[in-house]
Amino acid sequence: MIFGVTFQALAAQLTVGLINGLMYAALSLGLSIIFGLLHVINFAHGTFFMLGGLATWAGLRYFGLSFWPMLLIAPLLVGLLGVLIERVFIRRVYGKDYLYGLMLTLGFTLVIEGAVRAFFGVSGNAYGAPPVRGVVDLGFMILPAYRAWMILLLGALIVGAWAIVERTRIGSYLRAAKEDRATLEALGVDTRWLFSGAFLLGVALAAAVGVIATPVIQIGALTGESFLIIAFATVVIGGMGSLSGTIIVGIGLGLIQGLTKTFYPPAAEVVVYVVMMLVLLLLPRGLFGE
Amino acid sequence: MSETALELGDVSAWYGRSQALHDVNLTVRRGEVITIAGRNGSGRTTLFKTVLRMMPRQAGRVSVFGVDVHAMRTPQVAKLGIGYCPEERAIFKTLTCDENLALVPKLGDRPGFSVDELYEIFPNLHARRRAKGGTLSGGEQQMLALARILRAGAELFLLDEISEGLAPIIVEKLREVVSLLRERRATVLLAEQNFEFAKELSDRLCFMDHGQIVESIPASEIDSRPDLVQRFLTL
Repeated sequence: MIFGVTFQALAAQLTVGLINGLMYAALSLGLSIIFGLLHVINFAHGTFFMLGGLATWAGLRYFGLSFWPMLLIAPLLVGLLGVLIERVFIRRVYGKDYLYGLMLTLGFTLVIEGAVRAFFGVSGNAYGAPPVRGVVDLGFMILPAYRAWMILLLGALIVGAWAIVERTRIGSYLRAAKEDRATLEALGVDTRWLFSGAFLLGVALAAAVGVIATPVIQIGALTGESFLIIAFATVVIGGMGSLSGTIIVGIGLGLIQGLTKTFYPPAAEVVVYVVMMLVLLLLPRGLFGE
Repeated sequence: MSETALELGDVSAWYGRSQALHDVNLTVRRGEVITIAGRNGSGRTTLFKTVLRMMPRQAGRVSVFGVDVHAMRTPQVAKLGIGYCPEERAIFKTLTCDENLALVPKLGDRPGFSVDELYEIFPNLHARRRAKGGTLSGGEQQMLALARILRAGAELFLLDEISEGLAPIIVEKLREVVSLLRERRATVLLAEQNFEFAKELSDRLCFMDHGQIVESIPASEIDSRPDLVQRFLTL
């Protein structure tokens, strides 16, 4: 017993917290990449998450496409929609005050959510049986096998995205453009395609997280909103634009939520925002901000 | 192949409403090394930025190796073969030395220096090849800024205050590099306040004042024209 809670109960909540934390980290990573390079606060990020999930649900319902092909198709489709929006609209607010990007992407959120509501209704849609059935006996809890797969898939997504930015040639261009776009252009690098590439990466990440989450949540027009708020909190606490900070904080917030659910459940929903307020008061640039 | 590397005709440029260049005319032949001399604020950095179309507003004619650049964006102009070393060095601090070197695409037709050749020229950089740019000393950063455009095979070098604030031993190394470019018949424009550094390397000296080129003389005549140094360089 730890403070009146059994080890099994604590470990189970921490496992669930880890899965949620990985989801927050992967979702926030896309937001952080877009903000870090484009300096745009992408309010539509949660909407792209929702579209990834909705495409997965619709793929199964209308086209009989199972989860696994949709894990590739949905992020690609939503990513291309993101690039179209970036090329036609968002590029017009580069270099302007943050408010312009925020209002523009908020507008897209309202339009897309409205369209989804009109076509699919307000209530959430259940995916049905998860793509992986069965359970995994962890000793301290029986974990549904798909939840274990979520750890692997989200972990791979986070490591993959981090590696693209930190360990590839394309990533070195992204980091250089983030630091000093004018000098990079003076050295002969056209940064316009980099911006579209960063937006594609960020949006596709959000959609991929939406795909992975779909079998365990109800997916509907407003699903993205609650996740968006946590993603914003994660990026702010981690330090705007810091990828490592975003990953660490995302996972940390999931675990803190898990602990709170164990010891004081009524506070579980607000603990993320309490942490955010404390960090902003003590470290306005976030825990890992530059 | 155009024998003129760079030609400016009645070039003006502005920062907002403030005019920084006034009807500048300049012709640079291939293989020439020219120093643009002048006090701070005389317009030398603006001149380089105007060549690369980095200014928010500019007018007049700029041609690089015979190509009119007025409809081009900065990366396209750079790819005509311009290697630009900005005044503030502007190496990428979060990238390693190796990543900084690998970043610049091929500029122009000239074969660039290989990474091994560059590390031979700048052995200090070789020792720090995996270090982040932000952890390098000022001299190392300057060497890296120069090395990355040497690697790109540029033909026209715009070097802005490359010797500023550096130890004499580093300045000597930079002098060697510019001499090497001279031997290879590269075209070099040096914006310098370190007059001793620049005059030995140059074929011609152009003096700028208040956004205009006010005098242009062969470097061999400078010792007989101390008045120019007095008028345009002394505070």
